[in-house]
Amino acid sequence: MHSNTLDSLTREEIAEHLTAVFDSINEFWELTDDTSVTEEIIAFDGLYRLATCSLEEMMQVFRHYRLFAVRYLDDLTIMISRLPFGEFKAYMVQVLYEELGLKTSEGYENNIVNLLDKFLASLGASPEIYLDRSLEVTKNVALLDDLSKSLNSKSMYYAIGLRGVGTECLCQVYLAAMFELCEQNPYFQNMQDSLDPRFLERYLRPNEPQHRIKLRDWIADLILVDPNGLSELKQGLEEARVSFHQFFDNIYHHIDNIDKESSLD
Amino acid sequence: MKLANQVIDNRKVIVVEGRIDGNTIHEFEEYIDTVIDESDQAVVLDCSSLIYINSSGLRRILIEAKALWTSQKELTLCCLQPQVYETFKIVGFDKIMPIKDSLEFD
Repeated sequence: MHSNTLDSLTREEIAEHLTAVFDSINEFWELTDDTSVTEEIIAFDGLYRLATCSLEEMMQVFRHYRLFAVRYLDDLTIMISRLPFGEFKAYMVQVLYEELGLKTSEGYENNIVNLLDKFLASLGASPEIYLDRSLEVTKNVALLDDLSKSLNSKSMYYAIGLRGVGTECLCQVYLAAMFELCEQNPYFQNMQDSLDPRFLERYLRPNEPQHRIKLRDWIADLILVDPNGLSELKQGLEEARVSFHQFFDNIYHHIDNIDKESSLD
Repeated sequence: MKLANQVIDNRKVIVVEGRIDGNTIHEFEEYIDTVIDESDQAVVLDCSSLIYINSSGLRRILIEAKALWTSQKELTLCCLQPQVYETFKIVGFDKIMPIKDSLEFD
């Protein structure tokens, strides 16, 4: 409800309306926290095979995850472009800058995709495989294409829910699950000394509490001005959640199909 | 954030300096709640040195104001910096609680 439309209400009615808005914002953060917890269970459930699979399968999972890492940077750029001019936008540019490796002494070499490539190479994957776009999971290319389109065509709040709140909340949950399961894998354990640890170090460190606090304050500032944005924010978060499931399901279907085809040969 | 309180003209004046944000909200909530609970006077929030308030801070002020209304007392906002005034106005606080330019009361 816009401030001007409050004019016709009594003081008590306005107070009740504002209480409802503040409560909704709090409920949204509770939903986000709950999502992290439930998604952790779902991630472990969906990725359990990493604990026992072959190195080849493990490489395939990380190789196909790479597509998300690349596309996330593009999506983050789109989301930033949707934000109003101000501190929130400036902060998210810094986040992008860091993801691109530009905050470190090694510079661009330290960008997140490059670190993942180095990890993949140390796992034994050949660049010809993980750099070949024709080998991407086509369903995931389509899925991420659709999400990028939605980032542009739907509201700013949806974009924040999808790639601000959603990815921030889910990306680390999934990566933590991936690595925890890998660490149980005997083939992975045997290789641990020779693995390039930089990707893991970057992503497995806990998020700075300051990052989350700032993000929540800025998002709440936007919602206070336009409380209707909250439902779109929720929609973006939900889409992030569903798309993570779909993304990993697609990877596993792809891997299983390759296995089936090779067993037929 | 710094917090202090004093009594001026039979009103409890709570002075807030700095930022009420995700880092300081719990301290602010506890302080304002305790001071108002222990007081039987009308309350003035001196915001002359407040530079930012987040949604949780606004929510706490609303909760305290509503509690005061039940005992026929007011929570008055005072001396707001322009950017903070804008926040209170956008949300609609200017329609439910008095906002004054100075600590001088008639």
